[in-house]
Amino acid sequence: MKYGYAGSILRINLTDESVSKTPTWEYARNFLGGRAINAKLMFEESEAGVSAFDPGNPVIIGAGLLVGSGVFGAVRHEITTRSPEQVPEGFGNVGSGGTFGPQMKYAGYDHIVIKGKAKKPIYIYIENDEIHFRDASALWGKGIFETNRLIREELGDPEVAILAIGQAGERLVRIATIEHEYRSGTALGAVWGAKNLKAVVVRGTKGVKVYDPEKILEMNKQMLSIIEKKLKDYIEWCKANGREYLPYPKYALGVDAVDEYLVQQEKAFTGYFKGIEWPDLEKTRAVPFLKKRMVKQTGCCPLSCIGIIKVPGVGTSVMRCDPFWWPWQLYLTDMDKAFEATRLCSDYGIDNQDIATPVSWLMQLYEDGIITADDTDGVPMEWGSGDALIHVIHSVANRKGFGDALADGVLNLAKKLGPKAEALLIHRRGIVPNSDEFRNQTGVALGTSVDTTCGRENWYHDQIWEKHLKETGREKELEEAYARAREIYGTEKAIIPWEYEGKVRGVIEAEYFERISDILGRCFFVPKYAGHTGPIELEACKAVTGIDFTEEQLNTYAEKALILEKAYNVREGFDREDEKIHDFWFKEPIPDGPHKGRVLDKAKFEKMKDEYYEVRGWDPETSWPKRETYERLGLEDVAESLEKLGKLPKTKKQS
Amino acid sequence: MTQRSKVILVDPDKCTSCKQCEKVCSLKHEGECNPELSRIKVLRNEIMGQYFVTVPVVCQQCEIPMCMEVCPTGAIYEDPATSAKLVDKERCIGCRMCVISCPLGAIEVHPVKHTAFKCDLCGGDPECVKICLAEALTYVDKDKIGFKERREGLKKLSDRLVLVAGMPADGATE
Repeated sequence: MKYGYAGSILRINLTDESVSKTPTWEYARNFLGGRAINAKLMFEESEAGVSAFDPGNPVIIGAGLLVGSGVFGAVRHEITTRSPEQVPEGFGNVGSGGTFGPQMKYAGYDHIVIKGKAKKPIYIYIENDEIHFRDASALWGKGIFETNRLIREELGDPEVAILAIGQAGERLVRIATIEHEYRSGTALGAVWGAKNLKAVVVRGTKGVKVYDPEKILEMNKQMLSIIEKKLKDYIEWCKANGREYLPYPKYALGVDAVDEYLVQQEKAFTGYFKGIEWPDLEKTRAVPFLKKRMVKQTGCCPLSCIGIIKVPGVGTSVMRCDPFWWPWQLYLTDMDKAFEATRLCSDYGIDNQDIATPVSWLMQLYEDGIITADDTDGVPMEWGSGDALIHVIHSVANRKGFGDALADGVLNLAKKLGPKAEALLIHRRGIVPNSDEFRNQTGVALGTSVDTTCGRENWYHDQIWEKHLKETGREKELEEAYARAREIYGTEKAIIPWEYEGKVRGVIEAEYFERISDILGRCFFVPKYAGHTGPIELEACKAVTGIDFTEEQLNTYAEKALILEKAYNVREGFDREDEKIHDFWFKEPIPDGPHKGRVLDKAKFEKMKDEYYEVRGWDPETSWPKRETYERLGLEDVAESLEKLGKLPKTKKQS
Repeated sequence: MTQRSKVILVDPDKCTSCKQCEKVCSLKHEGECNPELSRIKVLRNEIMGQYFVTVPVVCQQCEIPMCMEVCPTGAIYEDPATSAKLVDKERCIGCRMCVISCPLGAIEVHPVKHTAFKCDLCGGDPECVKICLAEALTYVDKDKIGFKERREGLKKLSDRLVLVAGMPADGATE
């Protein structure tokens, strides 16, 4: 405990503005850190059936074990609360990089638990040991950009790290986000709005003690040299093949999916889940747009994966969450308009994908004659219309006109528009997918269906796109990947996207990988794309804490995080019925492109799920974890509390 | 041949504001990760939605170092091997004259030790340069940078510093 941790868990009650601190150790010894401690706190601090907007719904912010230690990429915080977006509501989690996680630890806190409801709009300013509750009435009604500026001005410190909600969160828009330095993610912002909480601001100057600083420096340089080489190879390959490129590492590492495999027409679609063959696709390529409009590269580790874009007359912001997909989903070729829409989302604090797919759906409904312009405040939902897109964003964020219904969730709007509209809505518990294809990605489909946070797509899953790698001269990488798959999963099929064999193991590995990253607070891009795996994480843990961990131990912490998230949902009454993906993926084959005709096989898919539950030690009938599984992980208390609610699977007769 | 003539050259346009340099600097010099105690500081000034300026500030090992000139106890001296200006902690009385005098703000007084601290070029192998993937920091031979480049570099730096310190002109993002 001497090294790595900041030391305290900070508990804040907004109702009476009380504050308390307890040692992190009480949780760290069993749950290590980050997302796992978040999950434990979430299970403990809330009761079954407490709604997302109830003062009793806790918001937990956690900075992982390695955060603030100087380890390359260890800059992430995780926010856990009940998701207001899911129907019915369930466990919600969102993570992001930036300066908040490190500053939290420099201020002395590994976790922050916020409960209650403020009487009037406030923001919390955490300045090392001092916790201030500050009046936010001047900030209420302001967008994210203005809010950030005003807070920095008011506190007179440009270095403060700010998490904030925009107007959307204040208005309890269920797709509102918590924004941090142009980063957002899963929509949990309305929970803050319900608490009258505009922002959480932190400034820490205390630093994090580490066990072996020299080792951290050495590991960082090692990782950097791998990335530098990849970047060099990529640029050389682009030059040799006459391809346009951007000299930024994230493109070299394939982080920017758009010009990589999405454009290779393997796993995306255009329009409302239609084929990939769209003649205007070329007009919406990322690289030419970025070459024209990107003014600065920024980010929270040397990979610096964010591009600041400036469009004259519009302003500066980022193109977050691969919104190049927007043009595809809406057949929108005006890239400046797409940027304008993204920028609006960043300012209002709304999730991009929660706008993009619903607008695509509305445009499909309009084309099919199911809705008319009258249903959308007189604005025709025509394909490719940037104005229609922007109208939707304004009306949702401000709860004006038809946007008021959409602000309560796309499923809510669908019910208003009638059964035909609802029948066309592809969703899972009210969450719409983005433009990631399930029909040729069985692992992604499985990972998504069992995801504890009802995520859009589980894309951590280990898989490769053979055609694309061959076309880009990376046969060697391909061979290595197959060899690795044979070794880890026993078959190369495990990493071939559309195969079923070996997938369960692959998904479980992905779940471990994702959660270990979130427990350590390290961006998964760094180990993944720098070619670093498990052993390097162990070295990093040793260098920071001085403790020798094994890979198995890290997996156990990951499993604890997962099962606690699952237990939260079980307590809420969820079972296997809630772990489905939409029937569309089993019925409508891919209409064109290299994967034309592919569709998910229901029987094989359900068999994968059976196998998944078996391997996890969960009951396949209900999907509920078994008592012995909780016990194996030392979670007897969780099992006990679920037993009382009748949420443990019945033990079968011993045969 | 000594490394006498090398400096850390800063290109603020390339800086991504990742602040990894601050982290490695404090690890190297303080044995803990604490950006507050870093010898290099990444200053940023940002109005979201409008502009974003960031400048790494680190000692330029001046030819005529103001810090050295004003120090009443003669605590600042030159490392003969690297030409880095170093602080003699025994002599330093923490009077902050150097802090006030440095045109870049590249020297500070340690909040716990109460003596001045600044970049020592890591003895001729600066950690910050090694971790800067964006190449905003390079460790270069003074002789190899011509007068013109140095002047241009300095102009860029001072322009950006003005932006960080105060309100920028409209539309200044690049």
